[in-house]
Amino acid sequence: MNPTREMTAEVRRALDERWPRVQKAARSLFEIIEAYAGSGTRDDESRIAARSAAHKLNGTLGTFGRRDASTVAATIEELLSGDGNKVVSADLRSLVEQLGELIGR
Amino acid sequence: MKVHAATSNKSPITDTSAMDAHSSFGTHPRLTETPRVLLIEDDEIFAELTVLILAERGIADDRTLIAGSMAAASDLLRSESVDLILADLSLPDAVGLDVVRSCLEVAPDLPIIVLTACREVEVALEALSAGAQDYLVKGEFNDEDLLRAIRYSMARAQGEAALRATLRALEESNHQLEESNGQLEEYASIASHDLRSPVRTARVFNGRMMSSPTVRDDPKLALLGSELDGCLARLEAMLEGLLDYAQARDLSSSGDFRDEELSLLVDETVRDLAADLDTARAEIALDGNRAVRGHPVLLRSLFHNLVANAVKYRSDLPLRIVVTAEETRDGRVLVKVADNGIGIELKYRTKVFEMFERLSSRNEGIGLGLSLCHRIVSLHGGRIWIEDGLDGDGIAMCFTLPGAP
Repeated sequence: MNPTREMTAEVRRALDERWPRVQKAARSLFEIIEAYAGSGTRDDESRIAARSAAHKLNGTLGTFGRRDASTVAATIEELLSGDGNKVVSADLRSLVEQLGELIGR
Repeated sequence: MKVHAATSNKSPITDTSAMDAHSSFGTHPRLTETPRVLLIEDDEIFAELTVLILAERGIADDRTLIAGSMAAASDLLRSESVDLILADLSLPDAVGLDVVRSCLEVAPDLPIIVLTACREVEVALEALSAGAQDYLVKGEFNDEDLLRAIRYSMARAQGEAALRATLRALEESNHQLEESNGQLEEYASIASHDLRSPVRTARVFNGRMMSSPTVRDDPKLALLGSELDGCLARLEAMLEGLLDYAQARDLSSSGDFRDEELSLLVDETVRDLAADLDTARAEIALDGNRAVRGHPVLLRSLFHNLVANAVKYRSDLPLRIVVTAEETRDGRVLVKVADNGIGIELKYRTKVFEMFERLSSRNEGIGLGLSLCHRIVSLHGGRIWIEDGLDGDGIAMCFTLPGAP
């Protein structure tokens, strides 16, 4: 992954003003992923919803310059993009835990 | 997902100087003419942030259109004036290249920048091949990247549009030229056809006059009559040649092509020109028979003209003609008709294919034979040129024809 490029100062300020609201939305997205990782079920519908949430988090967090969180979200998205049966629960749970900490759950 | 209404309809940006002027902290290059962006993005948060970034960089948020699906985007593209598309490649109703294709279907000339996830970079590259101008990886670009991509994409799209317009104009000119050429050929064909009859009649009347006692017994009149007959004979030959030249395209476009053995074409030519070849004490050999595909009349005319040319421009030695043929790498047949005649100087070897060009002071030709050969070969998609002939003398007329499948 290429290093995330910083927004210029004015844009950064404008984005920061939005962060509290975006953080709420990010938490909602995170909860979708968390629910999937915590549940024993591996149905496709939940997996696709979790993957979509990870995809959105990846872009949004990267836009805010939160590169670590964005990278973890991208890894989760990648993990959830394949066959649901092959998702290793331990890996997923660990990544979700990490993401939660990074976005200030 | 809300859709913002348009406030104005300015033309796309063209000035890149503002970008170059950007340097100091807190100042940003502004687009001198604000483009209207259509953002196709189903992630409302990301869409909101993108609009915010655009607004901060001079692209007013009330000008930016947002569509949450491909269907909504298509509707907007049909109803609104848009300068540039920013498109996510993962939409509810279209994914990957389908997004680009759908956009181009509705708005083929609009620049598209695709927004992609990191794992979709390969798809993004394919999107560029499919017609997108640029791509940005979500979460990895900043406002400078976005603005630069917009600016350059629009400049490229404008350049491409100008190129397409030039190509269209060129195609139109070519079409007009072809039409004009066709009309000229038709005119030449009709004129030469219609003139042949009065010229023949004039020759007949001249012949009658020359055989009358008054002319026959007067040396001056007899000489004039003879010169007149020579002039009329050349005029008749010229008209025949023009007619053949003009009719060559009609024959080739008839599509009546067939496979022909070179050995047959050479044999028939030898039979047709038997008397002339006999006079020239000629020997003709074929080395490497091949089958070519072409119009039977035109192929015969080609060989007839080339061999007749060798006869006309022979040296004092007995004429030798060697026809060789070989296949080329692209499936065509390269034929060489080499002789030991008087040859053609290197500097004239292209000029002789022009109409009415005669290099010899001999009066046998009218200067249409080789231009007709050039035309016939060209009409078969081939090339014709001249090389040295046999044993350093004469010439070899080299040409390519389609090989028989």
